Amino acid sequence: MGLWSDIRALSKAEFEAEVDKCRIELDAAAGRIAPRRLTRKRAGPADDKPATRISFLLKEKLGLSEDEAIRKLSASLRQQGVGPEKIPQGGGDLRAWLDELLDRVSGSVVMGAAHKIENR
Amino acid sequence: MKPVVAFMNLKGGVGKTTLAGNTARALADVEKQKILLMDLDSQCNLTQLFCSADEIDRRAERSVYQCFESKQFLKQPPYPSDLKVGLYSSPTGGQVDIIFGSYETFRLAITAPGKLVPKAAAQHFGDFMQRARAEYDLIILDTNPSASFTTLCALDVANFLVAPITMDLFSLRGIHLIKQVLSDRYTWLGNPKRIRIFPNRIRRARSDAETEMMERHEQEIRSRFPRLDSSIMTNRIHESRLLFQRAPGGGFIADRQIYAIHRRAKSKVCEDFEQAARELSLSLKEAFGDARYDGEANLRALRRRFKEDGDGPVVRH
Repeated sequence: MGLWSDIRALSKAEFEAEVDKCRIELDAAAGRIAPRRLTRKRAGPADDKPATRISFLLKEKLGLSEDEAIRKLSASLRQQGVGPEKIPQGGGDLRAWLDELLDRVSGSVVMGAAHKIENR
Repeated sequence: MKPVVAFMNLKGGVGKTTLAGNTARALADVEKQKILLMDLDSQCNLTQLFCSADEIDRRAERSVYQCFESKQFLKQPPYPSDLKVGLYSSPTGGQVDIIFGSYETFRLAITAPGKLVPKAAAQHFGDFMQRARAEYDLIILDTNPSASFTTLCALDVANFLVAPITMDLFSLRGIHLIKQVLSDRYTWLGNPKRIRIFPNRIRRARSDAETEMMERHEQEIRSRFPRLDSSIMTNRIHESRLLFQRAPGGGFIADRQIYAIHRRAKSKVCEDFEQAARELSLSLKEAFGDARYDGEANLRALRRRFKEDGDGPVVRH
């Protein structure tokens, strides 16, 4: 009954994600290769905000890690003539970095730079 | 250089007027600027946002037509304060004034180009705009979708283009056409920093499939017009019934009286405009320079980069 009440609170997607996690952990413990994701990969960004869309493009579509995304986008922006003083320093949290960047550089330029990485 | 922004697209029905008016108000709030709106469209759609057709006739003596009126071209052009009507004073200190449109501007649209009258009118308008530039931080020109006399006059005095689009190939083609045909005459149109494409009436995706479809569609549009890619704004105005004007004189969306049930929808639309205004303001700073970023710091960074690369510019003493 306790388990049922735990499960009942989850949405279908959350439940599937939990099942996936359990399978991956079981396989890892048994020394087997982790199976392919069972749940469907998200088709688009979670919302329409510029930072979310740019982050989706870099992380989900191009498969870059957060540090790699920051590094590549910084380089692409510099190539487009954006002054280095406008590009925030540091790495790690891509979303926070993008929020800071979008306060200094217009979204159209940042999105254009992200698309340049995609088209390379 | 003070920005004079023309809201323009050769495709009609993309939301030029709605976006010009409401963005001006949002910019006044966000940037605390003194903004002048001018209705150069002989259909007077922007004017109708704020007054009725009868009122337009009553105000004919103090309209945008006076900025062109060549009868007076030997005299001095009018001052903006002679023609403007105050629309909005922001609590932050911003201000929006308007010079109403006039059906009379249609007379200018059908006069043969190259004749003395239109030339004098264009000259008169240019002189008026110089005076307006001295008084305002930003001037926004609402134009009509054809390449008429007043539209070309707008491009003569403008130095920044905002082109509203609905996410379809036709409306982006309208901008492509402006760039292709007019960039010889107006060289600033060749600079991607001086053009912003403003997506309007974008549906809010309700499912993953819809999101995926819209992303694919946007991607297709971007790949069809790669040169316009970095000019497409990331903030967009979402589709909302509140943006459809029902009766003349409705005013800015943010000031409109609405039923309580629509309050959330209204705040979402206002947030869209606010975010878009922030992005547009950054784009204007990028195009015209901004003391916070583009001064000595830029120069120092450039010198540092040249030093690192080892092949600096040749300096003559």
